[in-house]
Amino acid sequence: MHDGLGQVTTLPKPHIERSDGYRKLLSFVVSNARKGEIMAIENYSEMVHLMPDTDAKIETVNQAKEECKHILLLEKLAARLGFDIDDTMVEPQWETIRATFHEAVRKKDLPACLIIQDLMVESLAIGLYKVFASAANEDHDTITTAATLLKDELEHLDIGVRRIQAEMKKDPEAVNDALLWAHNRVMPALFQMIHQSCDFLCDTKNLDCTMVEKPSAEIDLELLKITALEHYVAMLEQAAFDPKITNQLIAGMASYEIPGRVNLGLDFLRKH
Amino acid sequence: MTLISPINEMTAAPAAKEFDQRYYNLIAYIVSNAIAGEIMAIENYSEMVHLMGTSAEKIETVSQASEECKHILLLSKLGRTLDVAVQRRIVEPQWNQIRKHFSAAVARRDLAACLIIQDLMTETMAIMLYRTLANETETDPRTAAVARNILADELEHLEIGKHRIRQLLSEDPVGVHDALVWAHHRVMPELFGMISTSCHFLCDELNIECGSLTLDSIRTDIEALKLQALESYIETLDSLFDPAVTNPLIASMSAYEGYGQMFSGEAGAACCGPTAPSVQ
Repeated sequence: MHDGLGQVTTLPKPHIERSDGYRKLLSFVVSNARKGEIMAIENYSEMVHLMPDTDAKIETVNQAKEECKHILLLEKLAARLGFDIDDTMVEPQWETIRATFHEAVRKKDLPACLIIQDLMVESLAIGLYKVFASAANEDHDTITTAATLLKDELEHLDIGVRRIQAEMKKDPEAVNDALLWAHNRVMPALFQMIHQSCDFLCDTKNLDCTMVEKPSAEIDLELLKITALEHYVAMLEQAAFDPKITNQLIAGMASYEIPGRVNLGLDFLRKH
Repeated sequence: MTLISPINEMTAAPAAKEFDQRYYNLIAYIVSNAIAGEIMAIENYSEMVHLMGTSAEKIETVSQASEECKHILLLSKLGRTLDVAVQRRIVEPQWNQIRKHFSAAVARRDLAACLIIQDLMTETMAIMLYRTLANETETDPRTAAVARNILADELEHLEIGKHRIRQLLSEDPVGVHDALVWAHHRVMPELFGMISTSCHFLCDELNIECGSLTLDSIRTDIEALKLQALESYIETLDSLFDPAVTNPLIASMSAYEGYGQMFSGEAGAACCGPTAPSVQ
Protein backbone atom coordinates (compact mmCIF):
# COMPACT_ATOMS: atom_id res chain seq x y z
CA MET A 1 0.00 0.00 0.00
CA HIS A 2 1.25 3.55 -0.77
CA ASP A 3 1.40 6.11 2.03
CA GLY A 4 0.93 9.14 -0.25
CA LEU A 5 4.63 10.00 -0.27
CA GLY A 6 5.46 7.38 -2.81
CA GLN A 7 6.65 4.99 -0.16
CA VAL A 8 5.24 1.50 0.01
CA THR A 9 4.16 0.59 3.50
CA THR A 10 2.97 -2.72 4.79
CA LEU A 11 0.02 -2.80 7.11
CA PRO A 12 0.73 -4.73 10.29
CA LYS A 13 -0.95 -8.09 10.27
CA PRO A 14 -3.69 -8.29 12.89
CA HIS A 15 -2.54 -10.41 15.79
CA ILE A 16 -4.40 -13.65 16.01
CA GLU A 17 -4.73 -15.82 19.07
CA ARG A 18 -4.58 -19.46 18.12
CA SER A 19 -6.37 -21.74 20.51
CA ASP A 20 -4.94 -25.15 21.39
CA GLY A 21 -7.79 -26.81 19.51
CA TYR A 22 -7.11 -24.72 16.41
CA ARG A 23 -3.39 -25.56 16.56
CA LYS A 24 -4.31 -29.22 16.81
CA LEU A 25 -6.59 -28.85 13.81
CA LEU A 26 -3.79 -27.12 11.90
CA SER A 27 -1.42 -29.87 12.94
CA PHE A 28 -3.85 -32.44 11.55
CA VAL A 29 -4.42 -30.59 8.27
CA VAL A 30 -0.75 -29.75 7.71
CA SER A 31 0.46 -33.25 8.64
CA ASN A 32 -1.92 -34.70 6.07
CA ALA A 33 -1.13 -32.06 3.47
CA ARG A 34 2.58 -32.83 3.92
CA LYS A 35 1.87 -36.54 3.52
CA GLY A 36 -0.01 -35.73 0.32
CA GLU A 37 2.97 -33.72 -0.94
CA ILE A 38 5.36 -36.57 -0.12
CA MET A 39 3.08 -38.90 -2.04
CA ALA A 40 3.02 -36.39 -4.91
CA ILE A 41 6.82 -36.33 -5.21
CA GLU A 42 6.82 -40.12 -5.23
CA ASN A 43 4.05 -40.22 -7.83
CA TYR A 44 5.50 -37.61 -10.15
CA SER A 45 8.96 -39.12 -9.84
CA GLU A 46 7.72 -42.61 -10.50
CA MET A 47 5.96 -41.62 -13.71
CA VAL A 48 8.93 -39.76 -15.22
CA HIS A 49 10.05 -42.81 -17.16
CA LEU A 50 6.57 -43.28 -18.64
CA MET A 51 6.64 -39.83 -20.22
CA PRO A 52 6.88 -39.95 -24.00
CA ASP A 53 9.72 -37.48 -24.62
CA THR A 54 12.57 -35.69 -22.89
CA ASP A 55 10.71 -32.39 -22.48
CA ALA A 56 7.79 -34.13 -20.78
CA LYS A 57 10.22 -35.97 -18.47
CA ILE A 58 11.87 -32.68 -17.51
CA GLU A 59 8.48 -31.06 -16.90
CA THR A 60 7.51 -33.93 -14.61
CA VAL A 61 10.76 -33.73 -12.63
CA ASN A 62 10.02 -30.01 -12.19
CA GLN A 63 6.58 -30.86 -10.83
CA ALA A 64 8.19 -33.21 -8.31
CA LYS A 65 10.64 -30.47 -7.40
CA GLU A 66 7.78 -28.05 -6.75
CA GLU A 67 6.12 -30.56 -4.47
CA CYS A 68 9.43 -30.78 -2.54
CA LYS A 69 9.25 -27.02 -2.05
CA HIS A 70 5.72 -27.44 -0.69
CA ILE A 71 6.92 -29.91 1.95
CA LEU A 72 9.50 -27.40 3.14
CA LEU A 73 6.92 -24.57 3.17
CA LEU A 74 4.49 -26.64 5.25
CA GLU A 75 7.24 -27.60 7.69
CA LYS A 76 8.24 -23.94 7.96
CA LEU A 77 4.63 -22.93 8.62
CA ALA A 78 4.36 -25.48 11.42
CA ALA A 79 7.59 -24.26 13.01
CA ARG A 80 6.53 -20.61 12.74
CA LEU A 81 3.06 -21.11 14.20
CA GLY A 82 4.26 -23.52 16.87
CA PHE A 83 2.50 -26.79 16.09
CA ASP A 84 3.88 -30.24 15.37
CA ILE A 85 3.96 -32.19 12.15
CA ASP A 86 2.59 -35.37 13.59
CA ASP A 87 2.76 -38.63 11.66
CA THR A 88 0.21 -40.20 14.03
CA MET A 89 -2.32 -37.76 12.58
CA VAL A 90 -1.77 -38.96 9.03
CA GLU A 91 -4.75 -40.83 7.68
CA PRO A 92 -4.19 -44.40 6.46
CA GLN A 93 -5.93 -43.91 3.10
CA TRP A 94 -2.84 -42.17 1.69
CA GLU A 95 -1.13 -45.56 1.52
CA THR A 96 -4.03 -47.04 -0.46
CA ILE A 97 -3.87 -44.20 -2.98
CA ARG A 98 -0.09 -44.49 -3.31
CA ALA A 99 -0.36 -48.27 -3.80
CA THR A 100 -2.94 -47.77 -6.53
CA PHE A 101 -0.69 -45.28 -8.29
CA HIS A 102 2.23 -47.69 -8.04
CA GLU A 103 0.07 -50.38 -9.61
CA ALA A 104 -0.72 -48.05 -12.51
CA VAL A 105 3.02 -47.45 -13.01
CA ARG A 106 3.67 -51.17 -13.00
CA LYS A 107 1.04 -51.57 -15.69
CA LYS A 108 2.70 -48.68 -17.59
CA ASP A 109 -0.73 -47.04 -17.63
CA LEU A 110 0.24 -43.38 -18.06
CA PRO A 111 -3.38 -42.13 -18.38
CA ALA A 112 -4.25 -43.76 -15.03
CA CYS A 113 -1.20 -42.14 -13.42
CA LEU A 114 -2.19 -38.72 -14.76
CA ILE A 115 -5.80 -39.17 -13.67
CA ILE A 116 -4.83 -40.23 -10.14
CA GLN A 117 -2.16 -37.62 -9.49
CA ASP A 118 -3.08 -34.67 -11.67
CA LEU A 119 -6.86 -34.83 -11.42
CA MET A 120 -7.82 -36.62 -8.23
CA VAL A 121 -5.05 -35.80 -5.78
CA GLU A 122 -4.52 -32.31 -7.16
CA SER A 123 -8.28 -31.62 -6.83
CA LEU A 124 -8.04 -32.47 -3.16
CA ALA A 125 -4.95 -30.31 -2.72
CA ILE A 126 -6.66 -27.42 -4.49
CA GLY A 127 -9.75 -27.80 -2.32
CA LEU A 128 -7.61 -27.74 0.80
CA TYR A 129 -5.41 -24.80 -0.15
CA LYS A 130 -8.41 -22.84 -1.47
CA VAL A 131 -10.17 -23.14 1.89
CA PHE A 132 -7.10 -21.86 3.74
CA ALA A 133 -6.24 -19.19 1.16
CA SER A 134 -9.77 -17.78 1.39
CA ALA A 135 -10.03 -14.04 2.06
CA ALA A 136 -12.34 -14.83 4.96
CA ASN A 137 -9.50 -16.52 6.80
CA GLU A 138 -8.07 -14.16 9.41
CA ASP A 139 -4.99 -16.28 9.96
CA HIS A 140 -2.71 -14.46 7.52
CA ASP A 141 0.24 -16.79 8.01
CA THR A 142 -1.76 -19.73 6.74
CA ILE A 143 -3.23 -17.65 3.89
CA THR A 144 0.22 -16.76 2.57
CA THR A 145 1.45 -20.34 2.55
CA ALA A 146 -1.80 -21.75 1.17
CA ALA A 147 -1.92 -19.16 -1.63
CA THR A 148 1.64 -20.02 -2.72
CA LEU A 149 0.87 -23.73 -2.79
CA LEU A 150 -2.49 -23.19 -4.49
CA LYS A 151 -0.85 -21.39 -7.41
CA ASP A 152 1.48 -24.33 -8.12
CA GLU A 153 -1.26 -26.93 -7.73
CA LEU A 154 -3.56 -25.10 -10.14
CA GLU A 155 -0.72 -25.13 -12.64
CA HIS A 156 -0.21 -28.86 -12.11
CA LEU A 157 -3.90 -29.44 -12.67
CA ASP A 158 -3.70 -27.56 -15.98
CA ILE A 159 -0.68 -29.59 -17.02
CA GLY A 160 -2.58 -32.75 -16.13
CA VAL A 161 -5.65 -31.78 -18.12
CA ARG A 162 -3.46 -30.92 -21.13
CA ARG A 163 -1.65 -34.26 -20.90
CA ILE A 164 -4.88 -36.23 -20.55
CA GLN A 165 -6.34 -34.45 -23.54
CA ALA A 166 -3.22 -35.44 -25.51
CA GLU A 167 -3.57 -39.07 -24.39
CA MET A 168 -7.26 -38.92 -25.30
CA LYS A 169 -6.37 -38.00 -28.87
CA LYS A 170 -4.13 -41.07 -29.12
CA ASP A 171 -6.43 -43.65 -27.55
CA PRO A 172 -9.76 -42.45 -26.09
CA GLU A 173 -10.92 -45.95 -25.16
CA ALA A 174 -7.83 -46.66 -23.09
CA VAL A 175 -8.07 -43.29 -21.32
CA ASN A 176 -11.73 -43.77 -20.43
CA ASP A 177 -10.94 -47.27 -19.18
CA ALA A 178 -8.13 -45.82 -17.07
CA LEU A 179 -10.60 -43.34 -15.59
CA LEU A 180 -13.03 -46.11 -14.69
CA TRP A 181 -10.31 -48.11 -12.95
CA ALA A 182 -8.70 -45.16 -11.17
CA HIS A 183 -12.00 -43.60 -10.08
CA ASN A 184 -13.23 -46.77 -8.45
CA ARG A 185 -9.91 -47.37 -6.73
CA VAL A 186 -9.02 -43.89 -5.58
CA MET A 187 -12.10 -41.71 -5.16
CA PRO A 188 -13.68 -43.80 -2.38
CA ALA A 189 -10.39 -43.65 -0.46
CA LEU A 190 -10.00 -39.91 -0.99
CA PHE A 191 -13.60 -39.33 -0.04
CA GLN A 192 -13.38 -41.54 3.01
CA MET A 193 -10.27 -39.71 4.12
CA ILE A 194 -11.97 -36.32 4.16
CA HIS A 195 -15.28 -37.67 5.35
CA GLN A 196 -13.82 -39.45 8.36
CA SER A 197 -11.36 -36.74 9.29
CA CYS A 198 -13.44 -35.43 12.17
CA ASP A 199 -13.96 -38.91 13.59
CA PHE A 200 -10.28 -39.64 13.10
CA LEU A 201 -9.33 -36.52 15.05
CA CYS A 202 -11.80 -37.37 17.74
CA ASP A 203 -10.55 -40.96 18.05
CA THR A 204 -6.84 -40.30 17.88
CA LYS A 205 -6.48 -36.85 19.43
CA ASN A 206 -9.65 -36.48 21.46
CA LEU A 207 -10.51 -33.33 19.54
CA ASP A 208 -14.04 -32.40 18.57
CA CYS A 209 -13.41 -30.52 15.35
CA THR A 210 -16.89 -28.97 15.36
CA MET A 211 -16.09 -27.20 18.62
CA VAL A 212 -12.74 -25.74 17.59
CA GLU A 213 -12.53 -21.96 17.63
CA LYS A 214 -11.22 -21.05 14.16
CA PRO A 215 -10.24 -17.76 12.50
CA SER A 216 -12.81 -18.36 9.76
CA ALA A 217 -16.04 -20.26 9.52
CA GLU A 218 -14.83 -21.36 6.09
CA ILE A 219 -12.10 -23.48 7.62
CA ASP A 220 -14.33 -26.44 7.62
CA LEU A 221 -13.46 -30.01 6.68
CA GLU A 222 -16.90 -30.49 5.12
CA LEU A 223 -16.40 -27.46 2.92
CA LEU A 224 -13.02 -28.81 1.90
CA LYS A 225 -14.65 -32.02 0.75
CA ILE A 226 -17.21 -30.20 -1.35
CA THR A 227 -14.64 -27.85 -2.89
CA ALA A 228 -12.39 -30.78 -3.79
CA LEU A 229 -15.20 -32.81 -5.32
CA GLU A 230 -16.52 -29.83 -7.27
CA HIS A 231 -13.06 -29.38 -8.72
CA TYR A 232 -12.81 -33.02 -9.62
CA VAL A 233 -16.18 -32.97 -11.39
CA ALA A 234 -15.23 -29.80 -13.27
CA MET A 235 -11.96 -31.39 -14.35
CA LEU A 236 -13.69 -34.51 -15.62
CA GLU A 237 -15.63 -32.26 -17.95
CA GLN A 238 -12.63 -30.16 -18.94
CA ALA A 239 -10.49 -33.18 -19.74
CA ALA A 240 -13.16 -34.26 -22.24
CA PHE A 241 -13.84 -37.74 -20.94
CA ASP A 242 -16.82 -39.55 -22.40
CA PRO A 243 -19.92 -38.08 -20.66
CA LYS A 244 -21.61 -41.48 -20.79
CA ILE A 245 -18.91 -42.67 -18.40
CA THR A 246 -18.43 -39.57 -16.29
CA ASN A 247 -22.17 -39.16 -15.65
CA GLN A 248 -22.29 -42.65 -14.18
CA LEU A 249 -19.21 -42.05 -12.08
CA ILE A 250 -20.53 -38.76 -10.73
CA ALA A 251 -23.91 -40.28 -9.94
CA GLY A 252 -22.14 -43.17 -8.23
CA MET A 253 -20.33 -40.81 -5.89
CA ALA A 254 -23.60 -40.06 -4.13
CA SER A 255 -23.43 -43.59 -2.75
CA TYR A 256 -20.30 -42.67 -0.82
CA GLU A 257 -22.64 -41.07 1.71
CA ILE A 258 -23.20 -43.48 4.51
CA PRO A 259 -26.90 -44.16 5.22
CA GLY A 260 -28.11 -42.92 8.55
CA ARG A 261 -25.57 -40.17 8.87
CA VAL A 262 -26.19 -36.48 8.51
CA ASN A 263 -26.22 -35.10 5.01
CA LEU A 264 -22.65 -34.79 3.86
CA GLY A 265 -23.14 -32.00 1.37
CA LEU A 266 -23.10 -33.96 -1.83
CA ASP A 267 -26.32 -32.43 -3.10
CA PHE A 268 -24.42 -30.62 -5.81
CA LEU A 269 -23.63 -34.00 -7.36
CA ARG A 270 -27.33 -34.77 -7.66
CA LYS A 271 -27.93 -31.37 -9.26
CA HIS A 272 -25.11 -32.15 -11.67
CA MET B 1 39.34 -29.60 -45.31
CA THR B 2 37.21 -26.77 -43.97
CA LEU B 3 38.47 -25.29 -40.76
CA ILE B 4 36.02 -23.66 -38.40
CA SER B 5 37.05 -21.17 -35.75
CA PRO B 6 34.65 -21.22 -32.84
CA ILE B 7 33.72 -17.69 -31.72
CA ASN B 8 34.32 -17.07 -28.09
CA GLU B 9 32.92 -13.75 -26.94
CA MET B 10 33.92 -14.44 -23.36
CA THR B 11 37.67 -14.81 -23.75
CA ALA B 12 38.34 -13.71 -27.35
CA ALA B 13 41.86 -15.05 -27.24
CA PRO B 14 44.00 -13.61 -30.03
CA ALA B 15 45.20 -17.03 -31.17
CA ALA B 16 41.95 -18.95 -31.04
CA LYS B 17 42.28 -22.66 -31.72
CA GLU B 18 40.79 -23.90 -34.92
CA PHE B 19 38.74 -27.06 -35.13
CA ASP B 20 37.86 -28.98 -38.24
CA GLN B 21 34.49 -30.53 -39.09
CA ARG B 22 35.60 -33.88 -37.70
CA TYR B 23 35.98 -32.24 -34.29
CA TYR B 24 32.38 -31.04 -34.42
CA ASN B 25 31.18 -34.44 -35.59
CA LEU B 26 32.88 -35.97 -32.61
CA ILE B 27 31.41 -33.37 -30.27
CA ALA B 28 27.94 -34.09 -31.71
CA TYR B 29 28.49 -37.76 -30.98
CA ILE B 30 29.83 -37.23 -27.46
CA VAL B 31 27.16 -34.66 -26.51
CA SER B 32 24.37 -36.89 -27.85
CA ASN B 33 25.73 -39.78 -25.84
CA ALA B 34 26.02 -37.59 -22.76
CA ILE B 35 22.40 -36.43 -23.16
CA ALA B 36 21.31 -40.07 -23.38
CA GLY B 37 23.14 -40.74 -20.12
CA GLU B 38 21.48 -37.74 -18.50
CA ILE B 39 18.02 -38.89 -19.66
CA MET B 40 18.72 -42.27 -18.12
CA ALA B 41 19.90 -40.54 -14.96
CA ILE B 42 16.69 -38.52 -14.55
CA GLU B 43 14.69 -41.70 -15.02
CA ASN B 44 16.87 -43.61 -12.54
CA TYR B 45 16.91 -40.95 -9.83
CA SER B 46 13.18 -40.35 -10.24
CA GLU B 47 12.36 -44.03 -10.11
CA MET B 48 14.20 -44.55 -6.84
CA VAL B 49 12.66 -41.60 -4.98
CA HIS B 50 10.00 -43.79 -3.41
CA LEU B 51 12.64 -46.20 -2.07
CA MET B 52 14.24 -43.45 0.00
CA GLY B 53 13.57 -43.71 3.71
CA THR B 54 12.90 -40.12 4.74
CA SER B 55 11.32 -37.09 3.14
CA ALA B 56 14.71 -35.29 3.29
CA GLU B 57 16.29 -38.12 1.27
CA LYS B 58 13.41 -38.08 -1.21
CA ILE B 59 13.85 -34.33 -1.65
CA GLU B 60 17.60 -34.77 -2.13
CA THR B 61 16.98 -37.40 -4.83
CA VAL B 62 14.43 -35.23 -6.65
CA SER B 63 17.06 -32.46 -6.60
CA GLN B 64 19.56 -34.84 -8.19
CA ALA B 65 17.03 -35.64 -10.94
CA SER B 66 16.40 -31.93 -11.39
CA GLU B 67 20.13 -31.27 -11.78
CA GLU B 68 20.32 -33.93 -14.46
CA CYS B 69 17.47 -32.12 -16.26
CA LYS B 70 19.54 -28.95 -16.14
CA HIS B 71 22.43 -30.86 -17.73
CA ILE B 72 20.22 -31.92 -20.65
CA LEU B 73 19.25 -28.32 -21.23
CA LEU B 74 22.89 -27.18 -21.01
CA LEU B 75 24.08 -29.84 -23.43
CA SER B 76 21.23 -29.13 -25.86
CA LYS B 77 22.11 -25.44 -25.74
CA LEU B 78 25.76 -26.29 -26.37
CA GLY B 79 24.71 -28.21 -29.47
CA ARG B 80 22.78 -25.19 -30.74
CA THR B 81 25.63 -22.81 -29.93
CA LEU B 82 28.18 -24.93 -31.76
CA ASP B 83 25.66 -25.56 -34.51
CA VAL B 84 26.01 -29.33 -34.26
CA ALA B 85 23.09 -31.74 -34.44
CA VAL B 86 22.53 -33.56 -31.16
CA GLN B 87 19.97 -36.19 -30.24
CA ARG B 88 17.68 -35.60 -27.26
CA ARG B 89 16.67 -39.18 -26.74
CA ILE B 90 18.29 -42.49 -25.91
CA VAL B 91 19.63 -44.10 -29.07
CA GLU B 92 22.22 -46.62 -27.91
CA PRO B 93 20.73 -49.95 -26.85
CA GLN B 94 23.17 -50.23 -23.94
CA TRP B 95 21.57 -47.29 -22.12
CA ASN B 96 18.21 -49.04 -22.39
CA GLN B 97 19.74 -52.24 -21.06
CA ILE B 98 21.14 -50.40 -18.04
CA ARG B 99 17.74 -48.78 -17.51
CA LYS B 100 16.13 -52.21 -17.62
CA HIS B 101 18.50 -53.54 -14.95
CA PHE B 102 17.92 -50.45 -12.82
CA SER B 103 14.14 -50.91 -13.05
CA ALA B 104 14.55 -54.55 -12.04
CA ALA B 105 16.42 -53.37 -8.93
CA VAL B 106 13.63 -50.90 -8.16
CA ALA B 107 11.03 -53.62 -8.55
CA ARG B 108 12.94 -55.69 -5.98
CA ARG B 109 13.18 -52.59 -3.76
CA ASP B 110 16.94 -53.09 -3.82
CA LEU B 111 18.06 -49.56 -2.98
CA ALA B 112 21.71 -50.59 -2.66
CA ALA B 113 21.74 -51.89 -6.24
CA CYS B 114 20.06 -48.68 -7.46
CA LEU B 115 22.68 -46.53 -5.75
CA ILE B 116 25.54 -48.67 -7.04
CA ILE B 117 24.25 -48.55 -10.63
CA GLN B 118 23.44 -44.85 -10.75
CA ASP B 119 25.66 -43.14 -8.21
CA LEU B 120 28.79 -45.26 -8.54
CA MET B 121 28.90 -46.85 -11.98
CA THR B 122 27.13 -44.33 -14.17
CA GLU B 123 28.38 -41.27 -12.32
CA THR B 124 31.97 -42.51 -12.50
CA MET B 125 31.63 -42.78 -16.25
CA ALA B 126 30.01 -39.35 -16.45
CA ILE B 127 32.74 -37.78 -14.34
CA MET B 128 35.44 -39.11 -16.61
CA LEU B 129 33.59 -37.93 -19.70
CA TYR B 130 33.02 -34.40 -18.40
CA ARG B 131 36.55 -34.20 -17.01
CA THR B 132 37.87 -34.94 -20.50
CA LEU B 133 35.55 -32.40 -22.12
CA ALA B 134 36.36 -29.80 -19.46
CA ASN B 135 40.01 -29.85 -20.44
CA GLU B 136 40.37 -26.68 -22.50
CA THR B 137 43.58 -27.82 -24.11
CA GLU B 138 41.55 -30.58 -25.80
CA THR B 139 38.22 -28.93 -26.49
CA ASP B 140 36.76 -25.56 -27.44
CA PRO B 141 36.08 -23.07 -24.61
CA ARG B 142 32.28 -23.38 -24.75
CA THR B 143 32.32 -27.15 -24.49
CA ALA B 144 34.87 -26.92 -21.70
CA ALA B 145 32.76 -24.39 -19.75
CA VAL B 146 29.60 -26.49 -19.98
CA ALA B 147 31.50 -29.64 -19.03
CA ARG B 148 33.05 -27.95 -15.98
CA ASN B 149 29.62 -26.84 -14.82
CA ILE B 150 28.16 -30.33 -15.14
CA LEU B 151 31.24 -32.01 -13.69
CA ALA B 152 30.79 -30.17 -10.39
CA ASP B 153 27.26 -31.61 -10.02
CA GLU B 154 28.32 -35.13 -10.96
CA LEU B 155 31.16 -35.11 -8.44
CA GLU B 156 28.63 -34.10 -5.81
CA HIS B 157 26.31 -36.92 -6.86
CA LEU B 158 29.14 -39.44 -6.54
CA GLU B 159 29.83 -38.22 -3.00
CA ILE B 160 26.13 -38.42 -2.10
CA GLY B 161 26.09 -41.96 -3.47
CA LYS B 162 29.16 -43.00 -1.49
CA HIS B 163 27.67 -41.52 1.67
CA ARG B 164 24.40 -43.38 1.13
CA ILE B 165 26.15 -46.67 0.40
CA ARG B 166 28.31 -46.37 3.52
CA GLN B 167 25.10 -45.93 5.49
CA LEU B 168 23.53 -49.01 3.90
CA LEU B 169 26.74 -50.98 4.45
CA SER B 170 26.58 -50.23 8.15
CA GLU B 171 23.03 -51.62 8.24
CA ASP B 172 23.34 -54.66 5.97
CA PRO B 173 26.85 -55.37 4.61
CA VAL B 174 25.93 -58.75 3.14
CA GLY B 175 22.90 -57.39 1.29
CA VAL B 176 24.90 -54.48 -0.14
CA HIS B 177 27.74 -56.73 -1.32
CA ASP B 178 25.21 -59.03 -2.97
CA ALA B 179 23.75 -55.98 -4.70
CA LEU B 180 27.23 -54.97 -5.88
CA VAL B 181 27.93 -58.39 -7.36
CA TRP B 182 24.63 -58.39 -9.24
CA ALA B 183 24.91 -54.81 -10.47
CA HIS B 184 28.53 -55.20 -11.51
CA HIS B 185 27.90 -58.22 -13.72
CA ARG B 186 24.77 -56.72 -15.23
CA VAL B 187 25.76 -53.12 -15.80
CA MET B 188 29.52 -52.83 -16.20
CA PRO B 189 29.69 -54.86 -19.45
CA GLU B 190 26.99 -52.58 -20.90
CA LEU B 191 28.73 -49.38 -19.84
CA PHE B 192 32.05 -50.72 -21.03
CA GLY B 193 30.69 -51.93 -24.35
CA MET B 194 28.95 -48.66 -25.08
CA ILE B 195 32.11 -46.63 -25.35
CA SER B 196 33.52 -48.70 -28.14
CA THR B 197 30.50 -49.56 -30.24
CA SER B 198 27.51 -47.35 -29.52
CA CYS B 199 28.44 -44.67 -31.98
CA HIS B 200 27.36 -46.87 -34.86
CA PHE B 201 23.77 -46.28 -33.81
CA LEU B 202 24.36 -42.62 -33.17
CA CYS B 203 26.24 -42.11 -36.42
CA ASP B 204 23.12 -43.24 -38.25
CA GLU B 205 20.94 -40.87 -36.26
CA LEU B 206 23.28 -37.93 -36.63
CA ASN B 207 23.90 -38.56 -40.34
CA ILE B 208 27.61 -38.64 -39.69
CA GLU B 209 29.91 -40.88 -41.62
CA CYS B 210 31.40 -43.05 -38.90
CA GLY B 211 34.74 -43.12 -40.66
CA SER B 212 35.02 -39.37 -40.22
CA LEU B 213 35.20 -39.68 -36.45
CA THR B 214 38.84 -40.61 -36.26
CA LEU B 215 39.66 -39.78 -32.73
CA ASP B 216 43.04 -38.33 -33.46
CA SER B 217 41.23 -35.36 -34.93
CA ILE B 218 41.36 -34.09 -31.39
CA ARG B 219 43.54 -35.44 -28.66
CA THR B 220 40.51 -36.64 -26.76
CA ASP B 221 40.95 -40.35 -26.74
CA ILE B 222 37.91 -42.34 -25.81
CA GLU B 223 39.99 -45.44 -25.16
CA ALA B 224 41.93 -43.45 -22.59
CA LEU B 225 38.64 -42.22 -21.17
CA LYS B 226 37.49 -45.81 -20.80
CA LEU B 227 40.68 -46.75 -19.02
CA GLN B 228 40.41 -43.77 -16.66
CA ALA B 229 36.75 -44.57 -15.95
CA LEU B 230 37.62 -48.15 -15.08
CA GLU B 231 40.49 -47.06 -12.85
CA SER B 232 38.22 -44.61 -11.12
CA TYR B 233 35.52 -47.28 -10.72
CA ILE B 234 38.06 -49.66 -9.18
CA GLU B 235 39.20 -46.89 -6.84
CA THR B 236 35.60 -46.34 -5.76
CA LEU B 237 35.11 -50.07 -5.19
CA ASP B 238 38.26 -50.21 -3.10
CA SER B 239 37.17 -47.25 -1.00
CA LEU B 240 33.79 -48.74 -0.09
CA PHE B 241 33.61 -52.50 -0.32
CA ASP B 242 35.20 -55.68 0.98
CA PRO B 243 38.25 -56.63 -1.13
CA ALA B 244 37.27 -60.29 -0.88
CA VAL B 245 34.22 -59.37 -2.97
CA THR B 246 35.71 -56.66 -5.18
CA ASN B 247 38.89 -58.49 -6.24
CA PRO B 248 37.05 -61.18 -8.22
CA LEU B 249 34.84 -58.48 -9.74
CA ILE B 250 37.85 -56.53 -10.93
CA ALA B 251 39.45 -59.67 -12.28
CA SER B 252 36.23 -60.56 -14.11
CA MET B 253 36.50 -57.36 -16.13
CA SER B 254 39.33 -58.90 -18.12
CA ALA B 255 36.61 -60.81 -19.94
CA TYR B 256 35.35 -57.53 -21.44
CA GLU B 257 36.19 -56.95 -25.06
CA GLY B 258 39.24 -54.69 -25.47
CA TYR B 259 40.22 -54.80 -21.80
CA GLY B 260 43.57 -56.49 -22.34
CA GLN B 261 44.57 -54.10 -25.10
CA MET B 262 43.91 -51.10 -22.89
CA PHE B 263 45.85 -52.28 -19.92
CA SER B 264 48.74 -53.50 -22.07
CA GLY B 265 48.99 -50.00 -23.54
CA GLU B 266 48.09 -51.08 -27.09
CA ALA B 267 45.78 -48.77 -28.93
CA GLY B 268 42.23 -50.05 -29.01
CA ALA B 269 40.01 -49.83 -32.03
CA ALA B 270 38.80 -46.28 -32.30
CA CYS B 271 35.11 -45.80 -31.78
CA CYS B 272 33.56 -45.19 -35.16
CA GLY B 273 37.05 -44.95 -36.56
CA PRO B 274 38.20 -46.59 -39.73
CA THR B 275 39.36 -49.64 -37.79
CA ALA B 276 36.12 -50.13 -35.94
CA PRO B 277 34.22 -53.30 -36.81
CA SER B 278 31.25 -52.78 -39.06
CA VAL B 279 27.74 -53.19 -37.77
CA GLN B 280 25.69 -55.87 -39.44
